Formats: sequence, C-alpha cells, structure tokens
Amino acid sequence: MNRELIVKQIEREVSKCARCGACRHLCPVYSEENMEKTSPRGKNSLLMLFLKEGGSVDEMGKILESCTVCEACVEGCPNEVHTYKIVLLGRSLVEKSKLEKEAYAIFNRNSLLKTGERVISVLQSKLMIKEGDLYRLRWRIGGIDKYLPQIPDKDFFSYYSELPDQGKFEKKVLFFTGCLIRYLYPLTGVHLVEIMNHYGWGVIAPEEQICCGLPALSSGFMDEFLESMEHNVRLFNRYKINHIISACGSCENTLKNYYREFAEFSTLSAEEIRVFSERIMDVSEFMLQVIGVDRDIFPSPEKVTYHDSCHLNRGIGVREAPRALLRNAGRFVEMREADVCCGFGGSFSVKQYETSQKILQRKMRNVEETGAEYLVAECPGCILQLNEGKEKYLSGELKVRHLVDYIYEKLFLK
Amino acid sequence: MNVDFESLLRNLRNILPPERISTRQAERYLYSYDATALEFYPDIVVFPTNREEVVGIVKLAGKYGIPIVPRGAGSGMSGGALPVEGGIVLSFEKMNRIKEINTINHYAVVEPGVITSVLHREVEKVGLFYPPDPASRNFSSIGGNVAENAGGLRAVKYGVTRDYVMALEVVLPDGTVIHTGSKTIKDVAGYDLTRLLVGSEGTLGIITEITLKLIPLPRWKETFLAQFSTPEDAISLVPEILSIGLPSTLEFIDGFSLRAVESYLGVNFPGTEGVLLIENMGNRGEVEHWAGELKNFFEKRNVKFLRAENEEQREKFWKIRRSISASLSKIKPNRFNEDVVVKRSDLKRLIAESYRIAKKHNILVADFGHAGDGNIHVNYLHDRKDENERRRAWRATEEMVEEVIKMGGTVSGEHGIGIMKKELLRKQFTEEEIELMKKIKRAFDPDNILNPGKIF
Repeated sequence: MNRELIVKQIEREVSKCARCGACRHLCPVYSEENMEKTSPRGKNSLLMLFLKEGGSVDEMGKILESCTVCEACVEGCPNEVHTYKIVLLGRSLVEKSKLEKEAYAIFNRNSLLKTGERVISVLQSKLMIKEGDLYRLRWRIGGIDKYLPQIPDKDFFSYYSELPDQGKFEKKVLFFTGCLIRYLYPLTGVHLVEIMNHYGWGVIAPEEQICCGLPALSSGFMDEFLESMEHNVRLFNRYKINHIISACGSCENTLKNYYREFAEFSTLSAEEIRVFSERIMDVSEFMLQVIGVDRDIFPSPEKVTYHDSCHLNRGIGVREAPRALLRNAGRFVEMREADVCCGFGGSFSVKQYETSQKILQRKMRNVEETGAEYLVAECPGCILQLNEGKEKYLSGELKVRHLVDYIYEKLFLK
Repeated sequence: MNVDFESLLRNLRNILPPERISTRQAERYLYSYDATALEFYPDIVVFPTNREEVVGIVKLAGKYGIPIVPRGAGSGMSGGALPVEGGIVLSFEKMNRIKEINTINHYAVVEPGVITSVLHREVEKVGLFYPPDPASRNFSSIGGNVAENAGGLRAVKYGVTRDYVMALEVVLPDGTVIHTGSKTIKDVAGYDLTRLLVGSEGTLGIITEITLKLIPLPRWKETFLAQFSTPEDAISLVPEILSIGLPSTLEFIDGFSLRAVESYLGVNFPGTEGVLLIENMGNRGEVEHWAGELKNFFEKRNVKFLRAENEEQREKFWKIRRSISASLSKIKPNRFNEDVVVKRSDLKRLIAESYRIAKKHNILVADFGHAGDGNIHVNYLHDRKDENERRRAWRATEEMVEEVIKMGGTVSGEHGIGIMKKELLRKQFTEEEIELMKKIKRAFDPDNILNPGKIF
C-alpha cells in the first residue's frame, strides 16, 4: 500500500470541496444523526485536519466509520467531490488489528468461506434463535441485534455443478456471483442460470473467482482489495465472452467503477481493467434488453415496490430496467425515497449499528406506506438488511425478494 | 478573554448531556467553517434540543461573558455563523421539528433547524406553499434563512423570507424569552420587532421558534427560455417583461456563463450571448393568459424563445441555470460572488460596468442571477493560489460595489453582511446611520455576547 499516493489522492479530492453544505441532507447518516461530523462535508474536513495536523487515528477511524458508501453525496455536489472515495482511502490509513486483517483476508479464500458456510449451517440452530424465516443471534454484544437467513449447507457452485452443461449453449455470458449469492443466497444464482438457459443463454461461472474486494476496501484493507481486483480481472480476461453479468449492485459497482478508480494502486494495466470492466452488465438490463423476458411475464394483481440499491443506481446507473420488469409483473408502486440507502453498508450495519437501524426504520416506514405485498431489490446486501427490517419493524405480510427470484417466480411458478 | 472554562463546562453539563457538548479540537473544527472558506475555532459547541436548554446556555454565556454564535446548516456565504471571537457555537441541527402546519389559518410553526426544502415538501403535501426558495433550500435551515433574510428565485412575485415571517420566539442575551408578531394577517401593535429580527444575523437575539405564513399551492406553471445575441439585449428587456405581469422567476444568464454550461452539460446555443429564463406559477387561467401575452411580446420583437411543453423540458431549462456554479468552478476554482442589487432600470448599466471593470483588471467575469428583482450575481473568477489574480479579482469586486452604490443599489440582496461585507456596508450607509444600528444592538445586547464581530 502506497501511503503517500493515498494521501495525495485524498488531498486532490478534498481540495475540490467548497464547503457549501449541499451534501449534508443527501447523506442518510447525517439525516438521522444531525451532527456535522456525520455529514460528508464534515468527514472531508476532518480528514484534511488529521492529515495536516495529525491527531488520534482512532478518532479519525471512528468518524470515517459513519458512511455507508452510498455515494448520494456525490450526486448533489456542485463540484463532484467523491466523498465516498475519500472515506475509503481514509479508512485505509487507519491502523487495524492483526485479527481484523486476518478476518478480511478470509474473503479472498474460497475454501475457508466454504468451510465456514458448512459449519455455521450446522451450528445455526444452536447459535441462533429461529424467528419467522430468519435466525436471530442468541447473544447480543453491545446491543447489536442481527438477523440472518438460514445458512445453506452448500454454496452456489455445488448447485451449479448439478445444472446442465453450460458449454453446450451457443450464446454465453460470464457470471460474477459475489460472496452473498455464492454462500448465502445460492438459489438466486441458480434461478439466474435457469432463466438464462430458458432463453438459450449459457452461464459460465468460473469457480476460481473470488470476492469483488468491496468488504476489504470498505474496511480499509487496500492490499486485500487489490488482490481481489487483480485476481478477478486476470481470471475473467481469459474468457473471450462479451458480457459479465452480476445480480449484486455492490459487486457490479466495484468491478465496473472502483476497479478503475483505484487502478493506479494496482499492477494491472489500464487496458486490462478496461477490457474487464466494460463487459460488466446488470442482470436486469440483460433480461430486459437482450433477452426480453418481459414479454413472457404474466402480470399478477399483487402490489410490488422497488428499493434502489445505491451502487446499482448511482454507480451503474440502473434505475429503469428493474422497474420496467416489475411493471410487467405486478402492480408497481413507487415508494418515497426509493433511492435512499437501506442502511446496510456491509460492516457499517454492525460498526454503526444504531444509525444503521434508524436508516432501516425509515426505509421500512416508506415501504409500509405503499401497502405493497412484495418489496423487491437487486442487491443481496440490501435483501439481507431489508429482511431484518421486515422482521423487526413491520407487522404485515411483506415478502422481500431479489429481483431475479421474483422474476423467476413469475416466469416459472405461475 | 479570561474565562474559567472548567467551571463553565461543569455548569453546561447540568443543562446538556455530555454527547451534546463538544470541546475536542476535531469536533470544534467542524463548527469553525461555513461556505466562505474561512475558519475560526469555537471554544465549545453545544447541541440543544429545546428552548429551555437554549435559555440555560445563553444565561451561562452571559454569566461568563463568553460569545455565543447561533448556527443552522453552516451554508452561509457571508460568515454569519463563524465564531470570529471564539466562544460557544449553538448548533440548531437537533432542533429541527415542524411543530404545526395549520391548514385553516395557513401558517407553520417550526424550530430553526428545519431544512427549508423539508418544509416545502411537508406543506405542499397538504396543498399549501412556502414561497421563499433560496438556491440552498435543500440544505440551508429556516433559522439561517430568517437570520440572513434569505431571498431566492421566486422573490420576483412572492417576496423574500421576511415577507413570510409572522411571529418569532426569541431568547435575549440575558435569558429572557420574548414573543414578537402574531399569527394574524394584520398586526400593527407596537414596533415591528419581527421585521427587525429577521436579517439581524444572530446579533440581537436567538430565535427558537418561527411562525411562517403559507399560501395556497399554485397549481399551474409556464416556463420560457429566451435567447439573445448580446447580454445587453437580454437584460434591457427585463422591465418590459415585468410590466406584462409579474412572473414568479426571471433569471438572467450571460454569454460567458452560458458557454461554461455548454461545455459542462454538452448542450449548444450557438450565437446566444444572453438568456432570460422566465417562469410563472399560479392558477391555470391566469398563468396561461400571461404566457400568451409573453409569447406575443417575444414574437413582436423577433425574440428567439422556447416554451417548456412538459415537466421534462422545464427540468432541462432549469438544469442550465443550476449548473452554472459547477461549470464555472471547472474554469477557475474560486470566485468572489457578489449579490448586489440595483433598480431594474439600472440592470443594463450594472452588467456593462461589470464587464468594463473585468477588462480593466484583466479578470474573468460571469454575470447571472435574479434579474427580475435586480439581484445579479457578479462573479469575478480567480484561483486563490494565484495571489496576484486573487487581488485583482478582489479589487474588481470592490469597484463593482462602488458602482452599485452610485446607482442607489445595495451591497447585499440576500447573503447578508456577516464579516465578508463589513467594509462594503460602510460605503452604503453614513456614520450616523450605522451608529443608530449599533444603538439598537446595544439595546438588545449591552454586553455584546451575541455573535460579536458581525455586520459593523
């Protein structure tokens, strides 16, 4: 990790800030906490202060924690200051414990993740209490009350190996699964493959792919992030297939944008990254524009609303395709603040538990207001958070679905 | 200043929980700045959540003789919220409740920390309208708007913040709570302290509750974009356009600003050196009639114009206006942003002078803004790091203001004086006039603890 280069990049970005304050109320964290230190302008200013005058690194780390990396601040900034980038770079300057470093290194080790998945799957009923469809942690540390879905006993690739040979299809796409689909929601991945196959597309998912690197980057582990980036770019560039599809907004944004934005720290050439990232395509756009699944969806009368995952919306610019699909599938109702973060933000949801929950409560209030029976999103991170929100804050019979699963149900289960 | 901070803090902790008192350097730094790019550290930052806490804090400040500076969103352009003499910054970020929206008597009662656009959204939900819309409406607070008497784009037809403040609850420097104005439409009882406090920049009292007048929500809008081959052609037409009937908004964009936006947005207006953006809102019949007359007016004078046919097109027009600031910062990072105001008959002279002065000092200038109320933002562009260029830009700014005063205009239409325009204020008023203002300040705040170092 090149500390000097990181500091220089932060300085370059922060110097664009005119301190007008336009970002404050776009920030989901500020909107709940109402203190300058949680606003994008405040975070930028503090980082500059620390770099100029030194100060407690712990304090800096604490302040930089209060960001979900939703990128909303960039959207409203007249000078386009990339505060999320400043935050990510700043987090990499904060010292971390060895234990934490090792924990994040696990994201890049498939064998460890796979073993972990099996172990937790077996132990889940001992460690957690079943509530509704979810499991709730039995012990609460520091008041943190988290819910998880049932951990599957096998990962996506165990299912994938039982699916028809994908090589036999003439038309092919590459599939970047991402950790959450791979280990937590493997059936979403299976449904994606089955939809694609139904329309004559083979789905090539290289098993050696590793985490996109966002968890590491977002916790300040630049080296581990770069390892992910270099591994995935080299791996996928061996395949001469036009599209790399993904069903996780956060992975997509990392692969398409963050790999480019942090390119200068890596050993990859700009050309290698370009060839990789320009092939990234979101599954909703693929389903709508390339294969046109909408013509086969039989519309049902159920009310459905959509939550924009921040990275898919702001990072990739996908807003319309999921809505277009949903308009075909059910009675689509737009919720208020659909594009406001759900409060997940990876480790943010634990490290800044209380704020994360306040943001989530607001999201669930907006969902409730629509009277929708289905809440659809297109990022498994959001799905994790929204399911928890439903369990904790809503009493009705709301069903939370990943877009792929929802479309799959409409195509094949009706 | 010789203050026993330990004792002051002990007393403060009796009023507020520790998480709402900041004394650490990093936290104080966050309240040292606003949109002026200047920095002054406060000694303490406090976050009250109700009037009683404000009273307690103010009493302590008085007892210890320490300055107290109220602060909303910290988005001001004149330094109003900067603690130039240190002391306590009283942040209203956590006093942001809308207490009442009265749909029968058409008023809203709010705390100072409410964000202006949040109020807009909430009152519009029930068919009411709060017209003042400063460009910062999405992030500035009502308290800040009232303290600076903020203007906005719709001021042409609807007036400014002052015109909508009906009543105030104010904490005086000795901790006394007073109420000014009333919730009635007419009220001439006694001196009009409400209008005195609006725009007083936190120097007379600390506002803890504001009653705002609302009006029925206008339901129809018409928007025009007129193009001219010189900026003078555009601006000269303003008085006649206003005579057709007051639009809600009449904005001017000069050629330089337009070119900046063109490259920024990738739009193209070849041969256009001046733009007027005109919008009217109200009931359908009235606004459509107005639009018809404006159309005839343009056609008779062979003015090239576009009329927004739908919301999407309207949004495109406004995007041009809204993108000017960002576009200019791509050309030069800094600018002295004047908010001078002249009579509409002097608008042509104002922009001519701004160009003459720019040429004289060899500096780039962009003129745009609220032509409908004579409030043009004259921007002398520069790079702060280039000391020579910065000085030339400042000199140009001063000369511009002198010209404005000669025309009988004002040095600030909506940003306030704060610390940025103290010298300029002295050019506009006589010593006697300023002394009278100081006497008023002393009557409210004899010990000068409220936002000291501002205005004068």
